Amino acid sequence: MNNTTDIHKELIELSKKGDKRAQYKLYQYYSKAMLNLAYRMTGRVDEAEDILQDAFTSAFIQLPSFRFESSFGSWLKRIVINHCINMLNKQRVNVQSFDALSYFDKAEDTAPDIPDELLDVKNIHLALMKLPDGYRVVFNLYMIEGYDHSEISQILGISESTSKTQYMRARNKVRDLLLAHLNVKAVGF
Amino acid sequence: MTDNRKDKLYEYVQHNREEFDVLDVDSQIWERINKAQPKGVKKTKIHPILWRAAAAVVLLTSAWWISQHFDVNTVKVFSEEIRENSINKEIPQLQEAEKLYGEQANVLLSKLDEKLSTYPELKAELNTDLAELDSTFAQYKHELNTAPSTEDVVHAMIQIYRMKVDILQQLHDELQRKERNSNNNSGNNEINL
Repeated sequence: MNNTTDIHKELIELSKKGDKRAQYKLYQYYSKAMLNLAYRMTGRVDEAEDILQDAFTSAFIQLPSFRFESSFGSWLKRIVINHCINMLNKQRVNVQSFDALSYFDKAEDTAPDIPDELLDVKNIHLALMKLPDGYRVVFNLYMIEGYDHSEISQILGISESTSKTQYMRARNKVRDLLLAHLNVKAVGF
Repeated sequence: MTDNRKDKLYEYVQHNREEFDVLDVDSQIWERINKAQPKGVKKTKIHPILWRAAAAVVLLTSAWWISQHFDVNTVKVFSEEIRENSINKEIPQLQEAEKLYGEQANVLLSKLDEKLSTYPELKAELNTDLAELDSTFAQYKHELNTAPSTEDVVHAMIQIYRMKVDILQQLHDELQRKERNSNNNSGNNEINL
């Protein structure tokens, strides 16, 4: 256990007892990261803000069951992600469900290299937000949140190979969007 | 499929990871979180030591009420809503707990109904405590599908079942002991503490 975890442990214990200042401190530490995670997962600011609120409310309710078997940040992140998945599944009935992604299990994809000149935070973020929900979720969980395909498969309830395939397709789509952006810039838009 | 974590895009994203957090938090969200928190959240009812302590508190309260009052009515062990929703077919442990502790609680409830017939305040106090546990149980149930570890939440829910049975059992035992003492001392049905 590192020092950061120790510091949070005290705050967490106080928060378990309903100490509002400790809860607010935890919120201050994590709210920005969790808001942005929700934004990348849902693609919408208003939904991300709703999820931030719901997720922290859930977290404070569930906190007494938190047994320090993972870091508080990882634990909270899973709550946010679960809220995001619930919202995506509930509100976007026309969106391909995560279960249906297994249809692509057999697909073979490649990962062409992305030229250095395309690597730009703003453009990558824009490309990410233009991805269809299923692609964006897998791409974000893998590329930005750092989960591996085994973890993603558990989170989304899909197979590991589906996670890999979806990620590859998302990555290729990001590359296409970055290339398109570069071409637009090249012709003076 | 190769591990693409080592590719340039992944390395670039990780190197600039914080810059992907483009939104700032609206200060009003905390106010909404504060308002949305149920009152029960403030209480750390689910820690094993505190379950016992809470049960002891109820027992002491009960003993005090016994010495002061008496009357009858039905004590609801599990609220209708909780009972209707409490068996979760996808979680066998909860089903098992509902069956085991639900039956135990109902047996105790029927026994207590008779014993509490002259303790209206005690009955009300007990109902309040049980309703609070119901409320906590409902909150946990609501959180099941967003919990990082379903196991932890289920564990907490089962402890609430146990706590209910403990409370009822201790109250039942206490009432029974007082009745025995009263009968032995005076041959009278009235309980004097």
